[in-house]
Formats: sequence, C-alpha cells, structure tokens
Amino acid sequence: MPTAQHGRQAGGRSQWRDRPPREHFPPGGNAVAIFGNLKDISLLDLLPLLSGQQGKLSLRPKRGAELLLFLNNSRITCAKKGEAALPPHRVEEELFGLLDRPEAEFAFHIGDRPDRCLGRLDLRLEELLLKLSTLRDEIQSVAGALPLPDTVFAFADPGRAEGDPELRDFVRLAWSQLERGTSARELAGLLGMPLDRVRYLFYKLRALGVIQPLAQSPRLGRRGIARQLLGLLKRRFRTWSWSH
Amino acid sequence: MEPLKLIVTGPVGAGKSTLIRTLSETEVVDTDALASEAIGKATTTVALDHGTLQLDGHLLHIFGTPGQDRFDFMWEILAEGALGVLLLVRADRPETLPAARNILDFVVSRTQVPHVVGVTHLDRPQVWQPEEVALFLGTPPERAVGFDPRDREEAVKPLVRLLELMGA
Repeated sequence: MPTAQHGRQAGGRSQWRDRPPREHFPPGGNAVAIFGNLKDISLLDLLPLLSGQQGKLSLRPKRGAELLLFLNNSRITCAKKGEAALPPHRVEEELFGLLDRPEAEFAFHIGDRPDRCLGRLDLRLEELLLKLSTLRDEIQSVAGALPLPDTVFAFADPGRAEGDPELRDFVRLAWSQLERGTSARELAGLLGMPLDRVRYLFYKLRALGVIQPLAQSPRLGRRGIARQLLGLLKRRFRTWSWSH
Repeated sequence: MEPLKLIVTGPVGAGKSTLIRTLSETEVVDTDALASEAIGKATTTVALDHGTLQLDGHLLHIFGTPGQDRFDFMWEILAEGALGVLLLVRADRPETLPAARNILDFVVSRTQVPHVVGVTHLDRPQVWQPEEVALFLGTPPERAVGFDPRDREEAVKPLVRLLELMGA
C-alpha cells in the first residue's frame, strides 16, 4: 500500500488527497483499487469496470444501510444489506435506486470474499446492466405521464395482471395494500422499492385496467349552499340560459 | 357567513391565471415569474393566484395553483374545505392530458371535493371536444365544460356546472 510519503508529489500536492476514508482499509483486509462517488461515476460506468474481477463492492448511500456486492467472474455471487443477504429481485431494486447518480460512496476491495452467504446468487453483470438501463429508459420515456406519488389507487380488476409475469408478481406482493387503496410512495416504502419504479408499475397497471384511482366520496351537506350560489349567479350572469 | 373557496388547477398554460383575472372583482394577487424552463409561455405561476367574487353575502375566494406537478403538495392543502375544484385543460394540447389526468386522479383520491373540467382554447383549428377530454380523464362527460376564460360571461360556465351538479 502506498504511504502518504510515497504519494507526495512535486509542489507538495498529495496524489492521495481523494483516497477513500480509513474505514475502507479494513485491518488485514485488501486494498481499495477503485473508489469514488456515484454522483461522479455512475453505476452504469462502474460495474463494467469491475467485470471480470473478484472482490467486494461497497456502496454507501448518504442515507440508508451499506450495500455489499460480491463479484466473481462477471457475476454477482452474493449481496448483503446490513447483515441480511438479498435475493435477486432485491439486488435489482437496490441497484435501480442507485442508477440516477445519487450521493453514494463506493469502494471495490479486490479479492474479498463473503465470510458466509446464506443466499448464493448467480446474476450476470452484463444482463443486469442491460435490464436496469432498459427499465430506466422506459420510465424516462413516460416520465410526464407517471401517476403522482401520493395518488391513491386500488384494484379495479386484478385478474388483468395475470398475462405479465412482472406485473403479476408485483400485484401479489402488494395485494393487501391494493385491496384497501395505497399510493406509490407508501408502497415503495413498504416494499423497499424505488419510488419511480412503483410509479411506473402503477402506470402500466392502470393502463391495463388492473387498478384505478380510489375515489373519495364527495363531502355531503353542501347542496343548500350550491343551490343558493347558483341562484345568485343566474341573476348576475346570463350564462344560466346556456345550460338549460 | 362562511367564506367559500374555489380551486382552479390544471397543467401549465391551461388558462388558470386568466380565468381568475376575468372572474375576480378585486385586484388579483398573482405570483408570476419568468419561466425557468420551456413551457410555451414567458411567465408562470410559482405560488398561487388569488381573486374574489362577491355574491350577495357570500365571498367566494378563488385560488389558482401552479401547473407544474412538483407543486402537488399544495393541491391537497388548498383543496381542504373547498367548495370545488375546476381542472382546466387546453383543448389544442393533447400532450398535456396525461398531466391533467394525474392532477385529477390526485384530487379525486385525496380529497372529498367535487370537480369540473373546464376545456379551454376551443377556438383553435384542431381541438379535442370536452366529451373527448372527459373520456381520456375518466370522468363523466357532464363534468366537462368548454369555455373561454377571457370572457366574463363564459368564465362563469364551469362554476355554474359545478354548482348544478352539487345541487342536483
């Protein structure tokens, strides 16, 4: 490992001034070869760099727990968030949430292997990247039409989701919430999914007629004031004749 | 007497500020600012517009919301206790219909306030008719009204329809 002295260049400027914090150099562990922040180097640039290498990629978002990805032979073989091993769909969700250059430090520890991994994975990096970038493009193409995060939707005809495996699985996951009515924001929080991904799934489910906005019953007790105002408007404006 | 509140909302450029200026009998408080993005007009409402209409003993406060959906947090607060919501949509800009539908979905699912859809710019060469707009928005056709927000007699039409539906 280079020392600060080795790193000193002419003019007194350290070439290691941007090196990662000390905790990225665990005692007895392997050195960090590649590090930085996702706001500067996107995940879509980073992951191909690590293809073919063996080691541990640490991703530390500004908020939330650290995500650890163990890579070997262009595959993710294990993924952990905190102490929990992640199943494949959760790995996709976590990485999708990191696509849009959030503030998140990353560091790749060459050669690190998981001590133990309860859920062994075999996710090909290239396929995963293609899937995630395609999904992001799809979402961006309909960004203006995505339902608002706090609009409440409920089932209209859940059976219509059966033809699409992704939608069917999502509907099963969110069944109880969609039965009573839920928003994309609430569901994203409950399921640990990126908000825009849930909005996009809501958009597709709505287009298929699986869900619809949950209409609140209009407030009662204003019929009298409505009639009174209508009478006053009819006297003031001639428009009343248009509607009769 | 209880002050009454009417909310005018809709996508950018639908005519919300124009409608309030036309209907209001007091000087309209507006918060127009130079548009920071290409929205098809030089200025846009950044907070809200406010005007009033006096109907005998009743003072009707008319509030216009910004059209950009990043201000959606304001809609629910403004709609609290409102008499009704007028959603304005441009008949000649079908590209704004998805945004209008999002606003309507939000209002319908988050508030108990009745709504009417006001369809503007019907004098343009190629337009969607009010009933077609209603179909897209998923609202009954009787809730969509075509009108010109620049003309005082016309500007009251959506309000009349709202009150008719509420009083029926």
